[in-house]
Amino acid sequence: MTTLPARPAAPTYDTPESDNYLTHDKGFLSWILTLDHKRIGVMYTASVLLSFLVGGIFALLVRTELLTPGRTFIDADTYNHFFTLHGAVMVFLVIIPSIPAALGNFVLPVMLGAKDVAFPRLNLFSYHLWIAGAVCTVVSLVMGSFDTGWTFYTPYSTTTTAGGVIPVIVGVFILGFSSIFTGMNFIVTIHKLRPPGMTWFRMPLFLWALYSTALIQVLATPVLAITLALVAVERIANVGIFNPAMGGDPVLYQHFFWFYSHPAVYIMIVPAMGIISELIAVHSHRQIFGYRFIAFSSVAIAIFSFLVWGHHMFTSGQSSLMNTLFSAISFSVAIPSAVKVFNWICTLYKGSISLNTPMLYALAFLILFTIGGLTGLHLATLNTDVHLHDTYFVVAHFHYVMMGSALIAMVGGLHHWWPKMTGRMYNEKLGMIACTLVFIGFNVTFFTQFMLGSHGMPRRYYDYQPEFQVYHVISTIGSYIMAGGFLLTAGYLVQSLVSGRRAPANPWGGATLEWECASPPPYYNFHEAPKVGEPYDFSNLKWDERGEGYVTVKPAEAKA
Amino acid sequence: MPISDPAREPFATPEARSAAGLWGMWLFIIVIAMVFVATMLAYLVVRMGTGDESGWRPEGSPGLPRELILSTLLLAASSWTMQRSLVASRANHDDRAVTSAWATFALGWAFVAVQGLGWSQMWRALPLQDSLYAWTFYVLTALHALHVIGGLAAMYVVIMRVVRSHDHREAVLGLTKCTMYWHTLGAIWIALYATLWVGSFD
Ligand SMILES: [Cu+2]
Repeated sequence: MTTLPARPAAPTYDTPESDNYLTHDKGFLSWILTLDHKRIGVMYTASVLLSFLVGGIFALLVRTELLTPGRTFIDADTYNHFFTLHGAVMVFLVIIPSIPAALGNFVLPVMLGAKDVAFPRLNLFSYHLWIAGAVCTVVSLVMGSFDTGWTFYTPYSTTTTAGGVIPVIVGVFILGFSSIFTGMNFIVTIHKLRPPGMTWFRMPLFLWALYSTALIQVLATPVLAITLALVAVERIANVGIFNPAMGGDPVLYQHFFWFYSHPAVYIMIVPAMGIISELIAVHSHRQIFGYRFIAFSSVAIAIFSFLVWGHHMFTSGQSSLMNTLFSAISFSVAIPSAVKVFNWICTLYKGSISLNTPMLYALAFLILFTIGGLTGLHLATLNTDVHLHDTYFVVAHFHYVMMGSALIAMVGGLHHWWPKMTGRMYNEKLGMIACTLVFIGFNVTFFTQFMLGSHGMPRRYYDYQPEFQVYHVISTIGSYIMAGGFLLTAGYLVQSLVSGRRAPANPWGGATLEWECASPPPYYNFHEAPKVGEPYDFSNLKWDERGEGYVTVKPAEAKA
Repeated sequence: MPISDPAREPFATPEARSAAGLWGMWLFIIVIAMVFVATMLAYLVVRMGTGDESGWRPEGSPGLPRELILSTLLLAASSWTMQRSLVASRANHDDRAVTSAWATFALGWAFVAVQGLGWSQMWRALPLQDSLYAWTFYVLTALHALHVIGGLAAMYVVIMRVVRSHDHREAVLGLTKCTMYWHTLGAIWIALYATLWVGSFD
């Protein structure tokens, strides 16, 4: 260890920042009416995690019911409601907003060295819309809930007797606009508020990912909005273009729904990939390998995402030419995805890896995303998809991608930025135990479902052949292990707020700008405009024993 | 009201903020365009799917209401006055700009009123439930009319702000955004009308 220079410019670990964004104003209204992107990000994070708890409880209820064939403890109708609620809550209230709206809102302006997003009022409005969407979902529950599946396929969604279909459709419509406005805000922010010196290719990869995501949010979500509006009108007026009894076309609904919902999958996964790029570079303290490839592959995935929706409809009677085209384009998504995975692995290679909780989550992501991605190829292949369509194989595949990848990355990112957001360190040992539990539980739950599916167990079913029971029991046990892991996570994160060690400005040795401001950041983010450097140049960062964090040293001293 | 703090203003200059505002407006226009493109595509898919023999238009039902021709003219005129308003404002004549903007506002409401007349013509012959021909007509025109009404509400706010604040820079910016939105709605209406017209042949 070299002797440290007098005092590094940025962090002041021994005199914790007393005036920060958390303490600057007090009271409920100072939160709910704030224009500070950091507070909005924190509120989104709390709301999303609460929804995750709700969606998770529905998942556990569904898994518990499936322990035995036939009735275990709830009737078939209730079961239909539960799996629908699980899907709808997890997709629309949790995974879609989890990274862009929650973590993105907090991190994006600070990473840019900016004071806020371009349109702070619109940002607050997005959050209020999210709340309104969540309220609609609750209203739907009170009015009799819904059993359509999260996809709202017609004509079932326009004819089912479940009473809560209209409120939840209104809710998803509103959530769509929340997502669109966040996307608009991020695009303009990245174009207009990059500080001098931060060229596009000196931008942290998380921002590239958020930018690509925002493009999808702005271009695809309006189609979902109008489609759901049409479904709602059809349900009320009992007439419409998706109604086959009148010469309408229910398959048209599927086209429209997937034109949004396939890109929506990338609204979930692309920002997750951005987080993983940050986690892997920072925690292996090594210049990211193939920066431009990672950046461009995010944009490539965003563009491809608009051209593959038909792979959800191979068995819908689509012409074989269409099927072939959609199949081929779906395969090509594997290329930018694999480019990213190779680059991450190359970054790890010969890096000096800190094996901590964020890194564990990143490694879990690499494994789970690879499995999720490769099993996607079986589904993009026409002749295997005909057999696997609507089986548990599909369920397992998309859980590997949406949960094993998108959500795991979100949790990893949450740990990575937790010290920055709260100013507290969480318990590293418990973090690693919880991550291991989640990883094991996840694979026990969902790998089993690949087997179930390839043996022919259809998805969504309440009842099943006794021969499938052993798999269902294993899968359910896995979901309990996972729940244990997440409960432990919730426990130590809450505990850290109360009694966690104070976080230094730069606990991990990150080189992007958010690590240059104090933890938690001051109300104005930066007292002075920060100097922009290379986002993945870690050579000037040294571990400082006294503050248990990293500090910047001048290049000459770094060599000493 | 949201707690606003000028010290947290992210932009260095008001000009930079205005430029970002125009970017935001362009993105919003893309969102609106996506909505209408999707809707018109859906209409065409269903229209072609029904084929000729099944009878898209119920026997003896009317074609598109004549009122639509009048409303199209009104909307075109309002686009023209909107443009005049913007040109005047850019040339530092905010008072003339306001007059033209009010003219646009009035023409906009006239458009909505005439659309309503067209609706009532159609409704007398073909209520909503009777056929997809009627249903698509109501949905497409109503979707557009709602966007017009929303635009008129925003236009009212902008005009009042220009009248009260006498802030010339704000006036140009507000009227620029109004004009962008208004021309977009005009173009969308032409496309929508053409789509409905092509679809109404039996
Ligand atoms: Cu897809």
